[in-house]
Amino acid sequence: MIADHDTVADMVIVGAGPAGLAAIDTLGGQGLNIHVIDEQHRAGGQIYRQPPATFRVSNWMDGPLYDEGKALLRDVESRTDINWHFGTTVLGLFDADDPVKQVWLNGPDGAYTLKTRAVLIAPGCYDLPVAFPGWTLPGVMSAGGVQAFVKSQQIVPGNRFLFAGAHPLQLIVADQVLAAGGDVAAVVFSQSFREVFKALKHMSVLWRHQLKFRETAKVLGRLRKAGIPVIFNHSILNAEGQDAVTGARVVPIGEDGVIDSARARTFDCDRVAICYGFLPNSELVRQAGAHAEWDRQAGGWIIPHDRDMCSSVPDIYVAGEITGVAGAEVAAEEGRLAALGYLSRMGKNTGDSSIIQRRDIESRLKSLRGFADLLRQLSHVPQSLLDQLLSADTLICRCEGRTAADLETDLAPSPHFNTADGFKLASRFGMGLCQGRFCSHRVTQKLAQQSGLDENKVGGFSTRVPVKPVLIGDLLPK
Amino acid sequence: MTHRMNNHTSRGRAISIELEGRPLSCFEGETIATVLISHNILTFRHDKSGKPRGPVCNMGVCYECMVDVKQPNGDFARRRACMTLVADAMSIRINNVEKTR
Repeated sequence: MIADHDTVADMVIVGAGPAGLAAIDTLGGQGLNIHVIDEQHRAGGQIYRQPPATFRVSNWMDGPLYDEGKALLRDVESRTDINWHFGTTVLGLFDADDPVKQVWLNGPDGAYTLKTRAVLIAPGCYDLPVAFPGWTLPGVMSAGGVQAFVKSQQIVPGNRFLFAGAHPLQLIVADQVLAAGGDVAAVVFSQSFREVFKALKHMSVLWRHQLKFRETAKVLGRLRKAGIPVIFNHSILNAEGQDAVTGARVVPIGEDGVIDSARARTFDCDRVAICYGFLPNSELVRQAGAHAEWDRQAGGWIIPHDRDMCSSVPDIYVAGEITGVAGAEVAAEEGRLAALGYLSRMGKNTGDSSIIQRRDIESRLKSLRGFADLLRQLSHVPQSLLDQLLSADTLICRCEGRTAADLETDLAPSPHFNTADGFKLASRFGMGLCQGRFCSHRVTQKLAQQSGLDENKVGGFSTRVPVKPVLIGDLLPK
Repeated sequence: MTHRMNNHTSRGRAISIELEGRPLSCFEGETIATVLISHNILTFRHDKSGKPRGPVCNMGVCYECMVDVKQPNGDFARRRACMTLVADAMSIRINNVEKTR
């Protein structure tokens, strides 16, 4: 591993999405030594995931919803006072000489370390994994993954897509696939239209965020015009195929919330895109020792923070989805707040203008969180529905090949399993390459259900360095 | 069909990578995942029971898209196909049935 740079950075920002970009925008130009780390090859995060620098895309993310974010991205990306580390994974955070911290990184040329006085962790989120029979077949992807292929890599990664989930993002992605020349078999929502309508009764939120609703209505109009069925109150039952997806079965959900597999109908498709919501990337900040709390509606493990967006660990700030999944606009405001909080603690930017800036941000956040709350209500998925989707041989832990039946039988010999870590040691759930990112939420909820304990008592799988897998060869000097 | 979008897009230099002896045409800036999918290759690896697996999250989280990429010293290193950019004459393998437990 390459040794530290001699200098100690003022701030390392993990994640160049909306939160990180807004923080850079606030911190830049003040003579601070700032390093920004992102696994992707360009700034923007998942929402503004850019085409490769070698591409030219004339209609990239057109539309009024994205103008502000694109402008911020352009401004920040052209800054020359920032040390960018793209294609680089953070492996872990350590205390060096207190209060200096050491960041372990793995970049295109291998592993190296950085020293810094403060860290802002803004790692974003990923699509909530939902297990059902056939979900490991090639061709079943997350809706976010499909969208990234379309908007960044500029390919339509399949022929005919079936979207299934509960989050309105799937409407947007279906629309983008269609516009790019792909075919959509159907968009399936688990909630009933009545539930959606009930959630939409909050007229004040509708009024304040009318642009988003108008754009969504336009998308719905285009899907209808193209003859794409948008089906409510239905769930995916399974994906079919031998070596890849060739179809998907969809079932109605009864009044009692029970799926009726006798009434399943089959859609021909070669891709299934899943869109049930999002989980924050909480591993790094938990490894760094920050206190985390379970909030299923907010996305699972989220990180409590103070008014300056500082976590329970001094000098480790958080912003964006990691504080509760609420979208890009909330993330950007929190990124600014974290930057201002950091500056005021450093004794910089403590005047009246800073106080006014913070008050403005907090007032915008209040309105934006109103919208995020509405979206959470609107896209709520009952756990009982997800439980019904499992058959005995459905994989829960995809990496280690552990099934729904294994989850039951491994729990059975000991009624005393009451931590996710204990269960992991005995069962291998979560021991694979994804380190539990695809099964941990499920295991924690199952253990909580079975033991009668709170999810906070059961815990998640402990996160350790490296928080993402690294080859030993990458750690050795080249 | 799976296809590259061309109406509003111009790409980087046309290059080629090699998959187990088979040349695959592609463009600078594309990820290994994009190139394989564009050539209608959806099985990126096999799991312990020999079942096919393909990319899921396309953002470096699921580790389902791991392929072997040839290194300058001749060894193969496992990399996420969705996070790894292609380079001209890059050599990859996908038939890496997992042997370890």
